[in-house]
Amino acid sequence: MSDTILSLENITKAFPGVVALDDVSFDLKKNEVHVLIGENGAGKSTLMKVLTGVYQPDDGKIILHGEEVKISNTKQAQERGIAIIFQEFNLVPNLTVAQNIFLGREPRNKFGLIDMRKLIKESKRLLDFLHSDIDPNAKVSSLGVAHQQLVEVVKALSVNAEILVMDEPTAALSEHEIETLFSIIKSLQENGVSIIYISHRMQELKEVGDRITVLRDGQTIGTRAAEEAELDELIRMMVGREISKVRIREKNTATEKVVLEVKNVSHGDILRNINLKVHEGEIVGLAGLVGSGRTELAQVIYGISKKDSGEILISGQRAGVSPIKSIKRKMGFLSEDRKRYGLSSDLPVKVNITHASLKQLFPSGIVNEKKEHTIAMDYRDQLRIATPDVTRNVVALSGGNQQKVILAKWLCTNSRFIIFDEPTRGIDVGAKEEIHNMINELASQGVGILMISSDLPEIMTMSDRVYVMRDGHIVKELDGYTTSQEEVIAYAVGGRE
Amino acid sequence: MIEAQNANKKTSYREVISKLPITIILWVVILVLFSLLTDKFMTVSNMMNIIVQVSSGVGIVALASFLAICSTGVDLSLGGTVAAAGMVAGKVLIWDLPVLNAIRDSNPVLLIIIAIVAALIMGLIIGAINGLILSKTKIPAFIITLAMMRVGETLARVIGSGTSIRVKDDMFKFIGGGSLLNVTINERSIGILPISMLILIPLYIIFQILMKHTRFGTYIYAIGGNNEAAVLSGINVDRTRFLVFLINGFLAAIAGVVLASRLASSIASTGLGMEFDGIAAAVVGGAALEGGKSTPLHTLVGAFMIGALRNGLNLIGMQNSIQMITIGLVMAAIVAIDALRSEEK
Amino acid sequence: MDKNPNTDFTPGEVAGQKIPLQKFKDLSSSVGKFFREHIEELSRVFVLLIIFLVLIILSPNFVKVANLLNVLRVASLNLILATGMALTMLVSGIDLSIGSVIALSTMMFGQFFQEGRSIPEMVIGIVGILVISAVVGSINGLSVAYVGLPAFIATFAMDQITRGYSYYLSKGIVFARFTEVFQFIGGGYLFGIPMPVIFAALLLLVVGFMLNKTTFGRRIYAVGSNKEAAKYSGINVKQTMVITYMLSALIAGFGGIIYLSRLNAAEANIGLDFPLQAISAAAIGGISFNGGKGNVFGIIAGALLLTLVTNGMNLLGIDSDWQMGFTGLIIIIGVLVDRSYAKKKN
Repeated sequence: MSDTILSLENITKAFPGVVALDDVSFDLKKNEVHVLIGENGAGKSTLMKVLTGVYQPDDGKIILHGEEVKISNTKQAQERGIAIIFQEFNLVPNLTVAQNIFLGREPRNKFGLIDMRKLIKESKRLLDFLHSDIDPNAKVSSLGVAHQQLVEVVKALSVNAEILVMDEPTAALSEHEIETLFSIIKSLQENGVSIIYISHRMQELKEVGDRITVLRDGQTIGTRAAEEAELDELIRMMVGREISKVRIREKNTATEKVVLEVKNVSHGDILRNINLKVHEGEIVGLAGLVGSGRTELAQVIYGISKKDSGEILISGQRAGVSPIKSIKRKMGFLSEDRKRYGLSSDLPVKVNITHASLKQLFPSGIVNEKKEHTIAMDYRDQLRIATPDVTRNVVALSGGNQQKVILAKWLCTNSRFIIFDEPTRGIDVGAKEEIHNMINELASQGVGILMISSDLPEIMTMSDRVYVMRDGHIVKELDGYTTSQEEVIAYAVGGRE
Repeated sequence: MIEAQNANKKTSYREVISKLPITIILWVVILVLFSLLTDKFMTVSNMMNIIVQVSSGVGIVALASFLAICSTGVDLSLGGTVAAAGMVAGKVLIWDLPVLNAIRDSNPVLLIIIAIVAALIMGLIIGAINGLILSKTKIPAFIITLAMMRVGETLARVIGSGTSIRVKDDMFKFIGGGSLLNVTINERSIGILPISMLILIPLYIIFQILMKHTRFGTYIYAIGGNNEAAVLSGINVDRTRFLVFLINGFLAAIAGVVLASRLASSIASTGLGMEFDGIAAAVVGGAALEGGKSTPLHTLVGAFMIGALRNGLNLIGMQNSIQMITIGLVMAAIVAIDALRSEEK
Repeated sequence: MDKNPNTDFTPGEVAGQKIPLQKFKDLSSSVGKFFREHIEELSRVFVLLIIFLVLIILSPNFVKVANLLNVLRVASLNLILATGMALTMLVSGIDLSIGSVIALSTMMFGQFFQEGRSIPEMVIGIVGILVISAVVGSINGLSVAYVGLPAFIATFAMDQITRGYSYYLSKGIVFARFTEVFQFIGGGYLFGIPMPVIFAALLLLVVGFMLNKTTFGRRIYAVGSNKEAAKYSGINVKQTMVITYMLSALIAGFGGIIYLSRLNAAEANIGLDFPLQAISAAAIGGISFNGGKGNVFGIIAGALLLTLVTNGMNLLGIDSDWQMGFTGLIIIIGVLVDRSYAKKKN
């Protein structure tokens, strides 16, 4: 391992409102597996999108084989031997393995027809190279997740990739399948392919990687040789930002009364034997990596998905399997995906605010528009929703104000228990602070709150208690006032059991 | 790993088999039921009758429907195009224009060729309009093609200045009604190599090859299977969709010519409901509305099933009304089974 | 929580003192705002006016009271059908079966209106038509909402099935010569206004009220605008869809009764073109195929526009053969101008 084949120098990339990458440098040596770690939003994906031509950097250089290059789209990246495998697979399920591998680049014979023999032979050769016995004629839809991923790898190799970017490749794989993947990575390495490996999982880093680079808040924090790296040190590097020690939430207002109780709830492989409690007036943080099952847990509690076993009690009553019943039990839910699950963007603010409480507000079935307007205006003032007019469509509002509209919807139903899933994702600093204050205010009024967040400072400064999830389990319950970021992330990534 | 591989194969077989029973059961029901109900059904002459009926109508339209559905669209304009193209062919054959009259007298074959080419151009124009709009905008395919269905019917009516044109040219009539080989059974001459079949079969063979062995066909499957993956693989999705509708116009025009020839007349209302039979045939053949499924050969099986169903119902004295209800129910049932199954997943 | 200065948007008001220029600016900006916000509605009114003018210039007969009343009467049937269609379109569906539903229900109950029938019998007939329509609509709604069929396939199949059934029932029979009482529904006048116009106006009032002033209207828009968000807000999405399809067919049945009475006859092939006409009027009236967008004023504008164009073609002596195709063209043009269908550039 000697020569550097790729280096990204001083890359800066800003989006409106955020600097996603701030003077980031990164290099890759031949035959190396270079692991890139960092919290959600640290800038890993953005960096890889710069490398593969999806984004153009505002500043900085990409140097490939000692030459500065400009990559303006994924096709150019491919031509230069850089391929990426995204988290969601981009395969066509109804086509065969071979057809998928060469999709868009099918070899053709002299009649202009696809040269099937060559297609199969080449696919077979590439699959053999990875010691895989997948039949190139099998339909992709008939393969399991691990094999589909293998097809993705082969597809990337078929463009003669020298540099392969793998984004969270193990996220969907079982233990056994991960081993297979690692052996594939080893054989790729032996055959001259360099790999950039993005992951959250601490255990696997040392097994698969040669070097590990930590990104945090769009900056390179440091690079360590995998053999020497200590988990504790890596965790410190990931979270070690200077944060204001000021807790937003100073006083625990929790009462004895339990508003949510989850008992032994399981849901397929995603949730396993979950137990948790939320009291009235309490803010409970739910930490964990993306994919650990947090959102799925929220959906099961809210009645969107069915649980396989276990029991959920809302204020002592059994919860039903539909949002309609959950709302009757005075529950509210702010989804992480506001656009998709939270808002009817083409409808006015006031209509969105009353959506969940139509029956409550207008039992006769006739909308009292004056009342609707007054209610909406009240919430606008109370939550400081920045819109001159509640008849304006939601789509015209900023992210922070849209989130406030959804919050208003759940205040309007008099919710006594609210789940916030990533309450401040994609929201600017000012609005974020306002929303934090509102959540705090709600808790002091006796509302029970379950707050899912990937934003560690948010968990640290807001929660009375913290549950940490990993791989569908709740692995630890921590006291919100005494725990540390390091402790939370250590449980979340499996650095501590 | 080998174990996992076997399991995978099993599921893929199961996928095929799970769809099979409906088709087989339907075939068995159709064949047994009609054979029991009437002895006119299972005869050589009636079988040839079904073949000619399918070849000069639903057979070709089903192929076009399959192409549209496979690339996640639907083409309701096929019936209208059949009518318009058939009418154009009829009009050219009888049009009282000095140029055409001269050709008619000197070289009747040339006139037929002109008529056919004119009909095909008509189909290509309608297809191109559909394709252009649907590849450049996000308007649902069924809306644009529904509108074009009416435009096509109107064109047919206007070109035919009213209802229908009788075609007297024997050579033209031979395309849809003639046969290369006739045998005599029970003192009746039966054509066992109908020209219309000799047009239909090569068409299906060409498209079977096109779908399986060309980039174009692979891209149609890719677009129907996972549009985003198709885009990321550098496939020109817009162009592929445009071509699908263009080809559809062409196919419908062929159907229009063959049908006009078999009926010995161009009738404005001839295409009415044909797009529905086409969709039903494609769906019965295994096409799924979410796209990317089935093949031309499966569609051909579906087309013959619809043809046999209509023919059988006809023989036992069930009017068009019962046929409409039956085919509507069959199609709704199969699409519903598909929908429920995909919801289970 | 105290007041945030950021929420004040009109700086002119902060100080509470306006100079005249400021007032003028406010006025002109609010006029400008009105135009910006209602650009779509205004453009439809504008197009209507142009067509109106063109027709006046082209044909002196157009502005005659008799013709205008006739236009209104024809428009009222379009209006009724388009209103029903608009409801399904608001929940991002479509109903291709409305013509055949009318045919089927009239084949079943047309005889109740024939000469010599008593008023109670006619009432039974009317109720029967409405009930059959509602039942068929409910089946459409169930198969779209609960079975998960694409709306155009479910209603297209329903169109074939009901049409086939009405042919089966009719066996070529034409019901004609209805009682005078029944003919009054579609052909009569009240205070000089044609009855269909009155019915259409009443229907628009009811539907307009439902859409804007009831919780059910709120649910329809919520479902059409974002089904997932509606579900998360505790709205019963499937039930809302079934009721909407039921109402759509019910309104079609209502239109069918008026049509029947006006025609003074019923056969199995009536209404072949109704779905397309209704979609046409709704689409050019700004009801989006993607759901959740559009209102009754749009429907009125759309139906009037369609009728005016057809009427104009009649006055200009354009062959009626062309007119059906023209309806098709109008849809295509209508959606092509609508910016919301434009593909986003990458």
